[in-house]
Amino acid sequence: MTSFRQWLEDLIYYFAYFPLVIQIAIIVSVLAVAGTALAYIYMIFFRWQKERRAKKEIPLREKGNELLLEHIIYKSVGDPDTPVALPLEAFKSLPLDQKWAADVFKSQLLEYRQNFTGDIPLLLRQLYLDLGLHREAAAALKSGRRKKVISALVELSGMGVLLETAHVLSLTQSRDQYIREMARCYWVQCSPDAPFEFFSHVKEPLLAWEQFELFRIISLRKDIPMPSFAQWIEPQYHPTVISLCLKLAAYFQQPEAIPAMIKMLDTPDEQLRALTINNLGKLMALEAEPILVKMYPQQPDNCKLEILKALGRIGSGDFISFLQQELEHTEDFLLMKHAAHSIVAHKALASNLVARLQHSLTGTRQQVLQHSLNPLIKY
Amino acid sequence: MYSAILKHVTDFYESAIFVYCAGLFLFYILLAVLSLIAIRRSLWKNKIRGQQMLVASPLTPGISVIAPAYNEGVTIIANVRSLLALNYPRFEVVIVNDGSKDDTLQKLIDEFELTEVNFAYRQQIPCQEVKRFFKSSNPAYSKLLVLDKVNGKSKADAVNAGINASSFDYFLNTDVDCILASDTLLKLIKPFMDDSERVIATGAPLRAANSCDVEAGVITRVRVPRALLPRFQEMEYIRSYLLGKMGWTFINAVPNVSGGLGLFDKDIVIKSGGYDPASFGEDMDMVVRMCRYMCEQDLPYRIHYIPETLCWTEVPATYKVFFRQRVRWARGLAQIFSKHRKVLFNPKYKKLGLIIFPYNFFFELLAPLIEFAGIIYYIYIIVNHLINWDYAIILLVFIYTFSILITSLSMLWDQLIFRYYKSWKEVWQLCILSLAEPFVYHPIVLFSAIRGYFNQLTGRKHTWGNMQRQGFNQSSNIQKTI
Repeated sequence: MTSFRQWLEDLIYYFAYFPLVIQIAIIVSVLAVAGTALAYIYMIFFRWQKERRAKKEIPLREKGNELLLEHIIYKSVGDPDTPVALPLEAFKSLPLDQKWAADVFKSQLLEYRQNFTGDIPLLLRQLYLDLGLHREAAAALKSGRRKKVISALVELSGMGVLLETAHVLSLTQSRDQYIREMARCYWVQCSPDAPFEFFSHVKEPLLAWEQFELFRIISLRKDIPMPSFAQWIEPQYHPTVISLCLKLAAYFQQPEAIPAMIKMLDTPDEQLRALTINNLGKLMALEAEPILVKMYPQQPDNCKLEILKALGRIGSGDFISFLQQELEHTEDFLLMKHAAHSIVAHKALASNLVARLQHSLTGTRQQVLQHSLNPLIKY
Repeated sequence: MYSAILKHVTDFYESAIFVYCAGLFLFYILLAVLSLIAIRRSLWKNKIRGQQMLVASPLTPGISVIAPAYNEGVTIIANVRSLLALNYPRFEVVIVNDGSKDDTLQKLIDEFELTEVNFAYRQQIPCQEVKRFFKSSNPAYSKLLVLDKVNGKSKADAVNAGINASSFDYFLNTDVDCILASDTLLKLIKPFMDDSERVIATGAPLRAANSCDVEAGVITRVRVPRALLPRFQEMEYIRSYLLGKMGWTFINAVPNVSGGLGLFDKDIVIKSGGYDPASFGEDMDMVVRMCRYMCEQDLPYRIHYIPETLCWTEVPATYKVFFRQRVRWARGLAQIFSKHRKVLFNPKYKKLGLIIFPYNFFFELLAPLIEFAGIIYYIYIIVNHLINWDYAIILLVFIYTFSILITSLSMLWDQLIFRYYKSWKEVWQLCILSLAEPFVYHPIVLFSAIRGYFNQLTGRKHTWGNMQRQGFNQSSNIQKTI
């Protein structure tokens, strides 16, 4: 021990005379030891803090659940015709003046809103407003701090509360991708009269994720009549807006969008064209069939594939011989497979043809037909 | 004269080694910082973007889960049930029976009411012949497709067959004996939806399942492995995934997506030629070829890692099996550098050529050789009484303390994400191991790497041994090639 201490003392004493390499090694070693010690101290502190918070939150969560179940859920589910009065006094027994408690209760409200349908989400929204829990988010919206703004948008959107209309609309054009995205979702979710207004002004692409989220929100909005999405299926709008509106027009079965979609078939964007063809199929656009068949030879493979699928979905039977020709002559496996699928999708209209093909086809084409006919194989 | 030259040589060698170490440590520190930022960013994104919306959306893309099986008869049923129970709206499970010699296929046929079907199969990427296809006559198992193929002597060959038969644009490459978290597909598909550039692959950390509690193919309690060797591997996995891969994710320079769990863009995999059955590191080789393809086509791309552990796998519990596995990994790395040598320092391959390959060349491929040379050098100077013990101890302490720091940081990052281990005792059991790692575990890794390079240089035939599986807190013993 003494010799080690002596060695250490020598080390400190002679430090200035050591070669640079050794000096660096000593400094790094000391920093590494200190860093390791700090890492473990922080780890202990972090775990302790988490456990402490969890202990503190459990009784509050239990109490919150109790109140929500007793005063809102049971009453609303038990007697759906009687309007539920919100007993604010009972909820005020929660320590909502403390930030951590308000955050916990807000997370519970959001969770309940996501998991219930009918009147319950509206009651929870009202409770959120009556308890004044929206004030912090409202202030955060204008705070200018990125993460705060985004969290506020997520919270208000989840609670279905629209505040600061003009400011939020300006946020839909924000330069920050996440603020822009959340503001758009929030706007579509909550705006009572013009939720789709920003579609006309989109300049930055809507990412796949944002399209998913917008699609979900729009498909869940039952309080407003859906506009005709055909108005945005025009080349002057952003391709991602057109792409979303194509999907929405097909989802809401808006046949009035078919002419706009047919016009979009001239687009030089291959992916958008393929998507347009796909959605024409989903809308069972009879009038598109001859156009699709006519344009088929000039199309790239992905569009050809979509044309074959669309013909199967429309299933008028007018172009079944075209599908037969593709099945019998194409050398592309995927086109062959989708031609067969589309013939089979014609059901009774194709029964004679299928019987004939089963005898006449050989090799891969026969196998492809059998594959399509097998009800156990879905794709 | 001779001694003067020798002194110059040794001085140069010592300085070069020090610079090398300092460079490596700088990289580690940089990775630690970048990984923390990447982890925090990923957690924040999770907070603002729920994934449940994907479950209900009709737009959610389909995923084919491909799991090769070779002599997995003992656990195949529970494992397939676990895969079929994944929480995702649109997926299929493609089990590739790679010429098993046991009753794997028969068990599948009996349990899942499989019937042979005439399946339109197109071989887009090379693999051994697929003899039969099976689908279940029970609608409850309509997602299941079983392929029975001739053994291809590698996982790569079986995955290629699965890709050829798969229906969707994305596929998950996993092992049938891996235990996946139920939200694996939801979590792995998110980066594909959430990037303006084309995402070609995503991965997530793996952990050792050796001592975990498993019920019906689901992890019910995560535990630190009881045995020492698996515990070292658990620590190494945490460090490698959380500190390494997450750091690389931040700068879009992920070198590898693990063969145990990775979600891939099928189109790019096929265009890159599929998995190479002759490769000993088929997972890294695949990612390198995908990146090469994207660079050659001048297409922007990204590869993501997410910090949450989504896959638990049984790691080797015996030194013999572990050594064999690491020899294969090292050989795979050497093979990749030999096969893709044109990539190194080639600006045409952007980050792959200028960051990923140089880093892996200097700090992964050469590291065992430099370290081995260092040991020989130490022995030489000790034997010849040329050693300055004070300096030697200081340099050893420098390396030792830094290695402990890096492991401690990775443990801290792990604690910041999820507290997988319930008790402090378990965390401590892992942390304390970092003190012993340089003396106990690292030498095995070092010598297996040297052996792997030697085998690669001499072209020695790799023997595919059997791994005695212990089962996940269950009494089964499973044979598995490694």
